[in-house]
Amino acid sequence: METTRFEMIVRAAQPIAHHQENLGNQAIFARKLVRLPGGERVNVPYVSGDTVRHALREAAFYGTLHEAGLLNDPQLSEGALRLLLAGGMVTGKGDASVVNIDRYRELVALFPPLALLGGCTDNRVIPGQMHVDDGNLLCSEMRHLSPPWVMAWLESNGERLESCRGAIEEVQRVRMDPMLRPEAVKLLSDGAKANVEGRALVAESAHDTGDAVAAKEGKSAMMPRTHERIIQGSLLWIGLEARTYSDLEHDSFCFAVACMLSNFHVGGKRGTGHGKLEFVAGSRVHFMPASASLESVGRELAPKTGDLYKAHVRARKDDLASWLRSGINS
Amino acid sequence: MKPLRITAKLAEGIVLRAPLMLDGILAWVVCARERRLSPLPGDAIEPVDIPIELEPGGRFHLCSQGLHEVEASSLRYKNRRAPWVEYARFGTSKIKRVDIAAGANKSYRVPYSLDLLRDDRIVWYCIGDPDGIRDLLRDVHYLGRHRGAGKGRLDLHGQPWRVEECETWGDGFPVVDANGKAMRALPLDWPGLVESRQSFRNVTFPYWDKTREALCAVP
Repeated sequence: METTRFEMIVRAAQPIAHHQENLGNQAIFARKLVRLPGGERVNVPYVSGDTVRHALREAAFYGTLHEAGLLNDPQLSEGALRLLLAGGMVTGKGDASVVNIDRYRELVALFPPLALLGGCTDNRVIPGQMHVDDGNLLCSEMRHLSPPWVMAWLESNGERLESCRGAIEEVQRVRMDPMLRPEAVKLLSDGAKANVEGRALVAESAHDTGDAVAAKEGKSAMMPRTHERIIQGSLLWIGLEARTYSDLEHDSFCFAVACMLSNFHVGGKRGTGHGKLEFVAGSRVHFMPASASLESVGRELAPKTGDLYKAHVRARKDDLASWLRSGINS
Repeated sequence: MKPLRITAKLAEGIVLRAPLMLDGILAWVVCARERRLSPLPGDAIEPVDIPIELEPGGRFHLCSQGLHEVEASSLRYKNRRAPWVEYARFGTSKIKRVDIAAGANKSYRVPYSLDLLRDDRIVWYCIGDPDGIRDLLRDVHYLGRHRGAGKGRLDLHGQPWRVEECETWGDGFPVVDANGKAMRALPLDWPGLVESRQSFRNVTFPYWDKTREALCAVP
């Protein structure tokens, strides 16, 4: 058994929108309670470990399907998709998504990341072998909780730590009402056009007379709303740790991490330029019996990362395809 | 075997639904190293050898439960979303509709409490072999629930575990304190108990198995 831990510094290549709740029209960024030295407590923005873990799960899924040549015509069963992307479900026998323990073992042999991330069989949850830490903002409030090598890297690269308050901004977006654009209204049918113009007249006269009820009825569908986000260029550190029992498992862990880092996105609003993280620096900690060693790693992690795993998937792609398409639903 | 005080130093908050038991943690390491599957509730348990002394009757190991004080808590959520977009994109044409409000694809948002502990420490007392315990604890980097998502991380760059010899406080060490109160779930006939609450618990691992619970004296 070997425990491998990757710790890395990532930079927000785009603003990060990772919200915990809405207050009216305002989305509030996720924050966690942090104890400062001396006992004071503050709320610090962060990206949850669940989010990073899911990014890793997706990366392993897409990377494996790509290597097996299944992305063009996947045709996966519902049970397989649920198992690979959401950990499956304890449903009991008789359900379409039952995976019995022998089949689960076989699937783990075909798709080793499943052993790392865990999943469900018919009547039990098989725990994963991986721990994924929160994405921790590098700020003065988190200084005492950041790994020493991260602090050394910041110092040697002239990066200044500031309060987390400076890392959050609030922005406003407005969903426009197309009915307010005359060129769009011209495209409407006669009846619809009459409705829109009638509503505009009602709103205008309500405004003049101060009639709040009529003004509400004639209101446009325009919706201004605000959200908090981590500003572009902010630095975060994340930790990923896995317990592996074979070279193949270890390589599949490295493969999944490398896939995730090659296109690392977290949080929401990805369609509007949010969420991209880029790798800046990393360390690998080997926890061997009686010792732990730290070594620097690049984005590719190691020269031959994933070779063993990719060869494994290519050699078994037909078996994998057959399992993912039909074998799990039995 | 020596009287020991074992301290875990956390780096962040921890999710605790039940007290942390040292013997359970050590048994987990032994099973993880041998890659054993955890038993189903009620199944026969294969013996797990850990470097903590068994009580003379062999019912449980001589160690206290984890002692800690919660300083502050915050509400967090565990979310699950059915991958319905991927069903549409990668799924077979047999997938016609997906019910995300009930059944296997039900989405959820389950609240839980994340605790910050005083001095970020948990302490156990036990009678055991310090070297054997140190060796096993080297593989324990996270404690409590939701470890897979980074909760309960130990101070891995500092000193996550401290195993040190300590003085005993009397005959009850390490399971009954100086006032005769239980420091872990104990059989009701355990000597030295003065006054303790009673509750259904397990006296040995696996502690999560409700089918084995019996009426015990508890802290």
